[in-house]
Amino acid sequence: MIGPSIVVSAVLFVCGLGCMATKRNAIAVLMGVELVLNAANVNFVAVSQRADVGLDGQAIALFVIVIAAAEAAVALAIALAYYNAHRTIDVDEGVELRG
Amino acid sequence: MSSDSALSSLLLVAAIAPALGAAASTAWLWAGGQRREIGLIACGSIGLSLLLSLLAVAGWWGRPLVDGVRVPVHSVLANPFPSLGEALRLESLVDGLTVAMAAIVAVVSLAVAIYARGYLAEECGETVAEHGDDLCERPGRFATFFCTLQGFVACMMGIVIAGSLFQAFVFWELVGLCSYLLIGFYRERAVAGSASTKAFVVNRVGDLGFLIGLGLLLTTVGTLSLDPESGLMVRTAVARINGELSTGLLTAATLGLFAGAAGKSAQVPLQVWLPDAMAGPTPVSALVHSATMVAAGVYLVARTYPLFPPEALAIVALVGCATLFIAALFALAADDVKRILAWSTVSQLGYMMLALGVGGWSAAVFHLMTHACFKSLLFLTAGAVLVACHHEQSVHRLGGLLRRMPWTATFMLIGVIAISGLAVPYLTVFGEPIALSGYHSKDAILTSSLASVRSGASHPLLFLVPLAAATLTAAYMTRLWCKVFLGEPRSEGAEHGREVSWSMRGPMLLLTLLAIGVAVGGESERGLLHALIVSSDPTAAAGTDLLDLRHDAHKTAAGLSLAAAFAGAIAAFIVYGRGRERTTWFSRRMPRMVAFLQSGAGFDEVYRDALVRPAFRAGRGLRLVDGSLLDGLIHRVAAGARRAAAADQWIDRYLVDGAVSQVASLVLGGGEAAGRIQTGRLRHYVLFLLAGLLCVFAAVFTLLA
Repeated sequence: MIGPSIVVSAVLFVCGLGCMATKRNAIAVLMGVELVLNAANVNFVAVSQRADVGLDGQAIALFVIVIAAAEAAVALAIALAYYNAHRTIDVDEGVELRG
Repeated sequence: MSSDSALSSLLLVAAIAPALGAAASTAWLWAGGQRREIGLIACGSIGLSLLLSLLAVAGWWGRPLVDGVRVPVHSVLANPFPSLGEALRLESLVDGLTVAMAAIVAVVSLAVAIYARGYLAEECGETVAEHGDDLCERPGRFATFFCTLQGFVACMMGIVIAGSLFQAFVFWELVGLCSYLLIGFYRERAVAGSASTKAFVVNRVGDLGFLIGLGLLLTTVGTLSLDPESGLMVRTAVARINGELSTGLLTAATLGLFAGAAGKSAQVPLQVWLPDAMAGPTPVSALVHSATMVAAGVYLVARTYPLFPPEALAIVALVGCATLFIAALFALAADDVKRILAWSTVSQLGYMMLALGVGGWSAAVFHLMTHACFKSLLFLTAGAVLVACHHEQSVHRLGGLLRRMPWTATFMLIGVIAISGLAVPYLTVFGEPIALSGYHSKDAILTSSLASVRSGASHPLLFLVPLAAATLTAAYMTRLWCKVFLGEPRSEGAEHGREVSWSMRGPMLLLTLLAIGVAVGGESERGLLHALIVSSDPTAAAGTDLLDLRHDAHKTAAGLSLAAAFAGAIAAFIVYGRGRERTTWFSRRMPRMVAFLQSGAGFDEVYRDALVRPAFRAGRGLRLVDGSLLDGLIHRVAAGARRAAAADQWIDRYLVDGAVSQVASLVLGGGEAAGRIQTGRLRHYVLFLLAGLLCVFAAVFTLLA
C-alpha cells in the first residue's frame, strides 16, 4: 500500500514547509528544510517499492541524505558567519538582498 | 644712345626717390626712430629729386641739335600687359617740357617739405589738441603727413615723366588719391572729410571723361604711347591724312582728355572742389592744390596738344576764359585768406587753359611754371600768417601785421606783385624790363590771345575778358594784402601775430627768389626758362605768320595788361589801403550780389539739388528696396525656416524622444515592480515557493484531469 506512505510524506512536507515559513530562527528554518527533504525521501522509497524500478528510489534517497548533510554543513557555516556579522540569526533581520 | 638712357634714368630715379623716401620713413619708424627725423628724410629724398631734375635740365640742354631741334628721349620702362601688345605700357618721355616741369615740381616740393617741418611741428607730439568741431585729443600725424607728401611727389613725377597716356592716367589717379588723403588730413573736422570726398568725387567725374578719351584713342588709333617717332601723335596724323579718323571722333576723344584735365585743374564747371580743398594743411594747399597737381591738367593738355583739333581747342579756350573770369570775381568777394588764394589759383589755371586754346602753348606752360612759384609762395606766406595768428582765416579779422611780420609781408607783397603782373614801365636794367615772373608769363598769354583774335581765329572777347580779369586779379590780390597787413589788428589772434621761425621763412625766401627771377629774360633769347619750354613747343613749326602776329601784338598786349593790372591794384589800394573798413561800398549796396559770389555763384547748390540730392534720394530708395523687399523676403524665409524647425523640434521631442523615454520608463517601472517581489525576507520566499507549488499543482491537475 502506498497511501499511508504518501500521507506521511505529505504531513512531513507540510510540517517542514510550515516550519520554514513560520520560524524566525535560521536553525529552525534549516530543520524545516530537513523535514521537506526527508518527505521527499519517503516519497522516493515508497514509490520505488510500488513501481518496478529496482532500488533506484532508495539510491536517490541515499544521495539526498548525503547532499542534505553537505547542505546542512554549508547552511550552518552560513548561519555562523551571519551570526558573526550581525550578532543574530533571525531570518527576518536579514533583508539586505531586498530588491 | 647712352646719353638718352642717362637722361631718362635721371628722371626715373628722381621720380622713385621720394617713394623710396616714404618707404625709408616707414622703416625708420618701425626701427624706433624719432618722428621729427621723418621730415629730414622727406627733405632729403625730395632734395635728391631736385638735384637729379636739375641735372636732367642740364642734360637736355646739352643734347645735340638735329635739324635745329632737340629730339625728345622716349624709352619703354615696362610692359605689364604683354598680351595687349604695346597698348598699356609704362614709358618715359623726356623733352624740354618734362625737365622744366620736373624741376619746378621738385623745387616747390622741396620748399614745401622744409616749410612743413616748421608748420606741422606740433604734429610731432604723441597727442595733439584738435580745435576742430569740438576739442579733442588725437595722435600726432607728422610721419603720416610726410609719407603721403613723398608719395604725392613720386606720383606727380610719374605724371611728368609719363611717356604714355596709360602711365599718365595711372599716376593721375594716384595723385588724386594722395590729394584726397592730404585734404582729409585733419580728419576729425567734418569740413575736411566732406571736402576730401567732394574733391575725390568731382575729380572722378572728370576722370570718366579722361577714360572715355583714352578708350576712343586706343580703339581708333591703337596706341597710347607718346613716342615722338611712332606714337599717338604720328599715328593720329597719319590716320587723319588717310581719312580713317573723323574730326568728330577726334574732337570727342580730345574733349574727353580735356574733361579729365578740367577736373584736375578745377575748370568750369568742375571748379567747385578746389576752394573746399583748402581744408587741408596749408603746405598741402601750396604744393598739391596750387602749384603741381592742379597744374597737371594743363600739363596733360600741353602734352597731348598736337592731338587737339581746332574745334576742341575752341572749347578749351572758352572754358578757360569762363573759368578765369568767374573765379576772379569769386576771389574778389571771398573772405577767407585761403579761399581767395584758391579762387585765384582757379583763375590762373583758366588763363593757362585759355592760352592753350588760342594756340599759345609756350605761354601756357610758361605761366604754369611761374604760377607754381609765386602761388606756392603766396600760400606759404598765408600759412605763416595763419600760424602766427592762431589760425584766424578771415581777412576781416586780420590786419596790422606789416609791423609784426615784416618778412612775411615782404614775401607776400612780392608774390602779389608777381601774380598781378605789375612791372615798372619804360625802364630797363641791362636791357631787361623791371618785372617779376608773373608779368612775363601773363604778358605772353595776353599776347597769344590778342594774336589769335587779330588772326580772326578767336572772338575778341577771348582777349577782352582776360584783360578785364587781369584788373580783377590785381584788385583781389591787393585787397588781400591790404586787409592782412595794413591798418590795425581786428582780432586777438592778429594782435598776437609774430614773425615765424626761419625754418618757415627760409623756404618762403627761396620761393620769393624764384618768383622774382624764374622768368628773367621773359620771352627773349636770354630767358632760360622760356627757351627751355620753347625747345619742345609743338606749335613752333606753325609758321612765321603767327610769330609775326605775336610780335606785333606783344607791345599792345603788354601795355594793356600793365595798364589793367595797375588799374586794379590802385583801385583796390584806394578802397582797402587804409585797412580799416570792414565793409565796402559793394558789400553795403549789393549784399546779395556779394553773398552770391561768396557762395560760388550757386554751383554748389545746383550740384546739390541736381546731383547730390537725387543720388541721396536714389540711395534712400535703394535702401528702402533693400530694407523692405530683400530684407523682408529674407526675413520671411527665415521665419518659415524657424517655424519648420520648431515643428521638427516638437516632433523630435514629443514623438521620437517621447517613444524612447516611454519605453525606457516602462522598462524601469517594470523592473521596479518586479524588484518589489525580492523582499529579502526568507520566509516570504518560502511562501512564494508554496504559492508556486500550488500553482503548479493546480495547473497539473486542471490540465491532466
